[in-house]
Amino acid sequence: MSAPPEKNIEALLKAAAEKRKQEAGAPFELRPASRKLLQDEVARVYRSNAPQRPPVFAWLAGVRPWFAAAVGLFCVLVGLMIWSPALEKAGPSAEPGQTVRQRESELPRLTAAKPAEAESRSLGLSAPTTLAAPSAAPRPADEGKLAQLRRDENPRDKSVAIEDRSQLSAAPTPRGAESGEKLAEAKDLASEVGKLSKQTQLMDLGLASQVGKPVAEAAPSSRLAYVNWAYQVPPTQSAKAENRPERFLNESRGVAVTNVLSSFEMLQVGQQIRVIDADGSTYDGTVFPVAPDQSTFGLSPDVLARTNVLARRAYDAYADLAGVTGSTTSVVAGQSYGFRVAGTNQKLQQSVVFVGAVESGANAPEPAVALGGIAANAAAGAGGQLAATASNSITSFNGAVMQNSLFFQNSRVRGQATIGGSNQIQVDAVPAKK
Amino acid sequence: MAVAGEADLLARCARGDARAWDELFERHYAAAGRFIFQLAPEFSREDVEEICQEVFLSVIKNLGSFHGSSQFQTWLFRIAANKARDYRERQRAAKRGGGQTILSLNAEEPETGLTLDPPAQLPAPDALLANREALGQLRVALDRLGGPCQEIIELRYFGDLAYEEISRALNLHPKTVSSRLSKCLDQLETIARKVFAGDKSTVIPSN
Repeated sequence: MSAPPEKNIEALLKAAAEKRKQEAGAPFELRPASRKLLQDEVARVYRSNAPQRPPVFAWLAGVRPWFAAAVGLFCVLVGLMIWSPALEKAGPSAEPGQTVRQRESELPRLTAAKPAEAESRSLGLSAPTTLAAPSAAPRPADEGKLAQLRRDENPRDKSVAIEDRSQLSAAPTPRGAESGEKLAEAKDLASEVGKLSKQTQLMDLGLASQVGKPVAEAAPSSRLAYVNWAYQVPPTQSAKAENRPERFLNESRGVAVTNVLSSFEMLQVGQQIRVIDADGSTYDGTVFPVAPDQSTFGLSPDVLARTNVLARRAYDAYADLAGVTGSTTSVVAGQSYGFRVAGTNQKLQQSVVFVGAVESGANAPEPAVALGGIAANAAAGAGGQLAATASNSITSFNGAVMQNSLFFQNSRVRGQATIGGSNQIQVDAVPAKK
Repeated sequence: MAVAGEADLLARCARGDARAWDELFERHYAAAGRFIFQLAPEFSREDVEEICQEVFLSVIKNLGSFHGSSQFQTWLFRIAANKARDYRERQRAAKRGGGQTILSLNAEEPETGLTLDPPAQLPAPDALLANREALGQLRVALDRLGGPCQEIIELRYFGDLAYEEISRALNLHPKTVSSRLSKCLDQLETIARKVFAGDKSTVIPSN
């Protein structure tokens, strides 16, 4: 047994420590298993405090409010810039011409509905008899005007050009064996006109591509060329001045309840018609011819509404069969026309659907008024001659020639308006005294 | 510079940074193991590794209670000393029969007819020899001393800590540490005299 240390406990402690250090040998190292155990414990204890990846939009927290507001305002402005053109095109304040152009672009689709002719007959419509077959070939009388145009190398006077084009396009359609020859002639004329303006070049392209083909095949392209040409033609100032809306007063009872269509104005441009209510609400739609015996307004509103579509189909079907190269109808004196317009009444904030007809008066002018750039001749039928030339007061739109004042002159507007989908009122309006 | 680096490391550890914890283990594991190994002559390397594991688990759980008033290593050594003490107490309890099956020494083996010769609860002969050595007896004396004196002596002589560091760890004035250490050494010497005089009952627990 070793002797106990005397007053040397400190030295004994140091010696013991040194001895154990030597016995320890290699430095202690953390084994992987122990390290994993410790790391697992770290993960368990510090799970909530573990550093996490910052969120994707964490940087937004540091963005100053004014900067965020500026970015938001910029986005709103960009949105308005994107949407405003679309609203201008689609809104009720859009130009009638734009609406007509949209309708014109839809014509090829509507033309495909061939069975519409039979349907129109069942309704007693007489569209084929009131619609003439226009032609792309010029009349001999037009050649003089074209020669005059040819002399005028500066086509600044667009009203003259428009008038000539309308007459050119109003020529009757060649049929049978003569069609190719007349198309070639039309092509030559179109080439001449094409030298005068860019618009006619479009027409030339449309016609030239159809040379030698049957008229029935050439019709759609010619129609397209015509439409393209028309897009380039702005209305003349004189035409704008002449195309004033006609004001009507509703004499039917019960109108005072809603004040809808108690007095209104009607404006027709081509196949488009606009009804402007007393409170400024506008209802847009289309006009279509109705057989005289069916213009008694005894037709129910839904039948009248169907005629809107059927009459167009009937016309298009007839136009295809007859080789019509134009796309628009004509207005014949004494002829009654149905229409269907729809819109929203600004005062009631309700939808208004007005289906009715314009009954031409007995004092309406005798000559037919070209209403689509292609004159129609109901008596001559397909291949007939132009029944009437355009009047001096031309409303040029879509290549169309019409007179709003003549269309509504001494006319009576009858029909039925449906307000808000349920409330129906009768309309029996006569032109207001000026 | 080192203090600032250690503070940053501990801050990262407090945020749960696994790499920071790995770095902390690398820095202090060896020192902690060496310190623990010196605390008791009977500690094997496996014992030290087990104790170290407990020490660092405690550090992970209680790092928030370390306020930086002393060096981290001092705080770590104090934890290690406590864990080592607990470990030794568990070993003693096991040697006293805790958790062991009681067998009859007179019972014969059914197949051979021989009686059981279970291992003695006393240390093996070589261990007895070791216990008779100064280190073993000193360890016994330290265990008898216990309390703050045992801690301050272990930190000073096994942890190689300076008076200033011990004073920061124990929140004492350095001179107080010096005087307290002197007194503790006197107490240890008194106890050691008795242990070295042959008071085996305190060295090896009786059954």
